[in-house]
Amino acid sequence: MDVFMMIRRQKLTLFVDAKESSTVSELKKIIEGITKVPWNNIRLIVDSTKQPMDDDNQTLADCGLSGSVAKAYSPALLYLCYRKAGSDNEWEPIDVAELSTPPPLPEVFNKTDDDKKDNPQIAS
Amino acid sequence: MPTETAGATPTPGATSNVYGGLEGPESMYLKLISSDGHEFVVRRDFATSASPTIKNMLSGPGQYSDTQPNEIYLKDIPSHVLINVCRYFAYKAKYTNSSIDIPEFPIDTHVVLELLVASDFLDC
Repeated sequence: MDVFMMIRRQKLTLFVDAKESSTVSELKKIIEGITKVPWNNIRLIVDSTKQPMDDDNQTLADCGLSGSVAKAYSPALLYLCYRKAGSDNEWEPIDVAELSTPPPLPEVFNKTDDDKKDNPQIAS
Repeated sequence: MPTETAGATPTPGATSNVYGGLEGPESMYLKLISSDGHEFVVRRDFATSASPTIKNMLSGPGQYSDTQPNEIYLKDIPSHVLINVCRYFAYKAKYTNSSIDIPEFPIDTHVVLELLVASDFLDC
């Protein structure tokens, strides 16, 4: 089963897919291919469980990322942190930039009880 | 062509693009950049099969060096819209020509209008 993930750090979001049976280290290597950060300086944290994926031999399914949870149109959210420079055990805190906010909806979208007959501007 | 993509792979003996990166004309991933500077990395094949606009942007004028970063600046699309676009690319790639039941693609009402404008631009 394919697992679809959104991996976020600051202003970067990676849309990555992998097999449920692939390991944590393989996923980290895919991220290394994109970000050019060595895979053992990469830490991934699953948003739904808040658990870091620190065991490189576990499969994605072991970490709770299965095909039924991580869909193509609703990918599982993972946070990405790099190891702090010059240290062995310190990781960056989770830091994800907010997305832009949509503008307010025009009034046409507000549902009222009699919206069936009183909305001539909506072409049917 | 047997030559590998720009030296992202650490081991010279390994096959190139085992862990796909962002460089070169055959990269596995593309980076889409929204109007507010958020970067979204998606599978190249998902994006080009869903959007002819993106496919044309990539094959347009430009140098074909091995270090060419595959980045597309979408200065009219904000990040909260582009994130939905990327989800759609994965959804379309997974369920096109599929024999299983295709689930509905969920869209938040607040994003719908801008998403429509973006989809018109991207022709998908």
